[in-house]
Amino acid sequence: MSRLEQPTPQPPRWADRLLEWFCAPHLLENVQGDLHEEFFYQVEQIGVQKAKFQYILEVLGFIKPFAIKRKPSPYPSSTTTFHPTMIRNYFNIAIRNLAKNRLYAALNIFGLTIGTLCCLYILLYVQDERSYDKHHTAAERLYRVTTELNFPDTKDPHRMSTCSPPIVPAMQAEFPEVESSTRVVDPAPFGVDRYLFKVGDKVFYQNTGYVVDSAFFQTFDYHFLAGNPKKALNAPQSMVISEALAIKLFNTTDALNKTLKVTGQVEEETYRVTGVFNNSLGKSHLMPDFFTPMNSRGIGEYVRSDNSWAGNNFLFGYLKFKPGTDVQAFEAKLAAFIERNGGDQLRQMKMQKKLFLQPVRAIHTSAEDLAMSKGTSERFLNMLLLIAGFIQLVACINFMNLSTARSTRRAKEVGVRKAVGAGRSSLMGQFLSESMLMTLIAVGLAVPLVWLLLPLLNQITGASLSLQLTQDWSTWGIIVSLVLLTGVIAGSYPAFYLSSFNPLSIFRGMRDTKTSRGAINFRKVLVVSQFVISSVLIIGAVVIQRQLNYLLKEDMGFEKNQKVIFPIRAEGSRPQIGSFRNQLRALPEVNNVSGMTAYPGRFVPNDISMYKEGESMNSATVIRFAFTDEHFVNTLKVKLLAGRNFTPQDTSSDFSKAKVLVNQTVLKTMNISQEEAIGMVLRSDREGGEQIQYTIIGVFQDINFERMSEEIKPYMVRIASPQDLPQVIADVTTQDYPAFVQKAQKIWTELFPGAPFEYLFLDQEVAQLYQAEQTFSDIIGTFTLVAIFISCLGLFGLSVFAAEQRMKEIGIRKVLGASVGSLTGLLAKDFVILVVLSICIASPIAWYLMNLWLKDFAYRIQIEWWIFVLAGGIAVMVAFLTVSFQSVRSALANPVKSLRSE
Amino acid sequence: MKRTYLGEFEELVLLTVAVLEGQAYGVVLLHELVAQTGRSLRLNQVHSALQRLEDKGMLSSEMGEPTAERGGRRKRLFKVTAFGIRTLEEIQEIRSSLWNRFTNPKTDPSL
Repeated sequence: MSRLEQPTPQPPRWADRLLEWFCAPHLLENVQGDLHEEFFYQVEQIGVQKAKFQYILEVLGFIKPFAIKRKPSPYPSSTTTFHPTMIRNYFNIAIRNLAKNRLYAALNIFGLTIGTLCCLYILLYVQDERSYDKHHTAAERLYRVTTELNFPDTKDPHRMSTCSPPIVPAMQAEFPEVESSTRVVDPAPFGVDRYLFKVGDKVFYQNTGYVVDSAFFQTFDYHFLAGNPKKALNAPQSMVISEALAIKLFNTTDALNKTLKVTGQVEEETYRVTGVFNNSLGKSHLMPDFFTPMNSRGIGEYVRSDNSWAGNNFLFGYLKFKPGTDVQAFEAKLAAFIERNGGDQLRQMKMQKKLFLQPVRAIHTSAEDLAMSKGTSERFLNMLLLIAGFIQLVACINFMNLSTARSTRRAKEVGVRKAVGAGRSSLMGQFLSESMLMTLIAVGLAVPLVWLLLPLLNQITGASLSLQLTQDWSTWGIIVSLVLLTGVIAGSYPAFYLSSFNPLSIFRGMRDTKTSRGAINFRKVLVVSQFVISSVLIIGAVVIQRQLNYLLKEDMGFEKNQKVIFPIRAEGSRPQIGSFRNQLRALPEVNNVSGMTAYPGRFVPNDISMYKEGESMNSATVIRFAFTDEHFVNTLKVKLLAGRNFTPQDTSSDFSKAKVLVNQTVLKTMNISQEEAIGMVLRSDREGGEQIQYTIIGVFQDINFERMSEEIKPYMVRIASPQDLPQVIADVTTQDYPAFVQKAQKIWTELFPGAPFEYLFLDQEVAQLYQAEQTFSDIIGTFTLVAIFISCLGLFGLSVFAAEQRMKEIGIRKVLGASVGSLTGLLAKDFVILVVLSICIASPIAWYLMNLWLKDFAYRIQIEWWIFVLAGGIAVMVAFLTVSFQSVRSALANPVKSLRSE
Repeated sequence: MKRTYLGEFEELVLLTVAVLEGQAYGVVLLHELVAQTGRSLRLNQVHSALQRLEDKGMLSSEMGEPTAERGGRRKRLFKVTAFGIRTLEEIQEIRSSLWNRFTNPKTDPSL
């Protein structure tokens, strides 16, 4: 017969499978039969290929409701599934099951507890970060004025969160929509980063103080412990202080009308306390130690008198709109507003300026887009949430794997329950309540643990979170939803799988091989996904750590180790700086002493636009500059590439004529060759026809004054006498820093009796620049450990199970002469293959993600192949150790024990 | 009286089932319908019509013998119920009376 020679044509298998999947079981036999009959009829009529194609069309044609709709079950699902008694019963059974399988319960609960711990902390952290500035009564009507500058010679616009001094008052005057407005000056970037407070004989430094308009407390809501928010900032030289500062200064929050003396950069001023506030209403991005009004002396005076609409974009401007204002329409009017008031000035300075409005509520979480803003970024928070989700998922997968792997043990239970009339829904209810119970226990353990570990976790993230369960209902909301979500995710697959067993085949002793093979494959997929997550985290942690090391260790162009900085701030200390330096230099540990106005690692506030001979202000380059002296080069070990160092004779008191050292980038940007640079004069025109002329006497190698995520900018130094260089830098060689610091302190107290002794290490200051990356690295590192640990818990559970199932096999192999080593390998092999596979999947994902992250750095490492090998090695190693712990144990077991009971 | 109406295709299927006298099932019906009407039809249309007719109580069905070309699957054989026959007759009556009036307009008493 020809049938024997040629195989019978068959309809396409996948189409048949598809049909079997979607078609209602009670219709399937007839439909499939008809389809097959038609297929063979068509084979005769139009040939195999066309018949197959027709068959596919026919199958697709059946994807219709009438064929998909299942016949309602003849046994309606029990109405008692969610009856309180049943639910109590579910939990009863669940508790007994947990008690019976302690190891599995412990593994599951342990993994879930750790996962929940991380999850909960991250959720609290994100919630806290997003809570900023939501508490103001008019929060949705508060906006900050932001600025975008365009210069003809730069491509990208410069966006910043600040604006020029007269802009906000003019808006208040010109637009009726503005209800109130305030400007905020943070003097910190201008060198006033600490304030010396004196009250009676108490003297100490305080970090932050803002200078604000008197309407500040009418615009923003702060809780006042003393004083009247509406009037607090009306009088000049008044000061509103934080609760913490009040207690520090006066030991009481009732500090109204007390006076104190404060020294900023220069002069000592006397202030009167008119208010004490705290942040009990909510956190704000404006949370300094104290506020002083704009109508005081100093910076306030300068701001009030300044009329530059183009430059001086150094203060924050806030507007509170009247209810019902169309903010977009308002924003559209700003172009005409800036043209009307500052058009001439802008054209004179050859720049364009656009103003925008940013909701105050969003400020804290959108810091990355704008220069001059602090806070976090929405991207970082989302990343954290993602990681938290992944960790919890890894813990859930443990539960799924362990409960389905053990399904054979519970198959009989399911069979009996079904035989006596349990519906699928009540079985699912039972398994779900088991996972729910597990999650409840885990969360119950995690909540007090979070509370206990908060200080430690806060150290990692640099936050100051607290767990307030009594007053904060939203925290409870988070906890409850975490329980429900975790319980359902972890429990749904086991519940679905276990309740699908057919009681008939369970009792006949047949195992449904098809579904159990499917379940084993699904378990493998789950294990692989666990290790994909872990491997991505490992690779991420390694890359981030290496990038951070690169940033910190990379040659920044100067020596940062063994440099001690003495910042001298106190009023009246300046004349003594010279003798302080001389006495320092006399110490045996000190190699060299220099002074600067801004040391590397700090924002350099001064800049000047300069052009070279034969050009004009139109093509000027902005060059940042600092003052230093002839010891700068030797103290910081800066390489001079051409020209000479300063000599004391170069010091000049004439601002408009000076000798300067420039960095390579100045030459590059201004298109000057190194040979012609020496002796070249750079010029800058000032208002009133005055001209500034700086002569280049030397060129030094580029040094990174700022974060290495930025390109190096044009930079120069000019010489000044020691009393004008308040940051004293000493190059020190010693093994015994405490002794050196003590000696320095002795000199300090003799020369500056009124000022608290202070010192900094340059390398630590530079590391400060990378605080965000350090935090990120710490977080990723921590979570990597957690994820690997949880994955290994699951792997351990599975290996225990696998060893148990293969106990007889191992016994027989042993009797036949297998060695412990080969048996261990046999048991471990299955799992190690999965881990290797997951690394293969994880590598490209991690490579892509890390390149995305590295893109933000101007100076970055290459992701090399060995990082993947290392991460893979770690993952395989850890997995192998986990698995072999159990496999060695079962390989060592006496085969008599496992074989005699049959 | 509320009664069930038949679609044109349903009527065709019902008639064909009646014609095939107890030997009607999916594929045969399909071939018969294609042969009679010359339309291009698919099995799913026939099946859905059969199901609708059965739901309306005009067809009844039982499982027949398995055959080899169906991969050992049984076929579902359809029969027209008494209600189905009555419906067909009613349709026929209405049609013929209308046809009568159409071809012999003079004899219409209402004119």
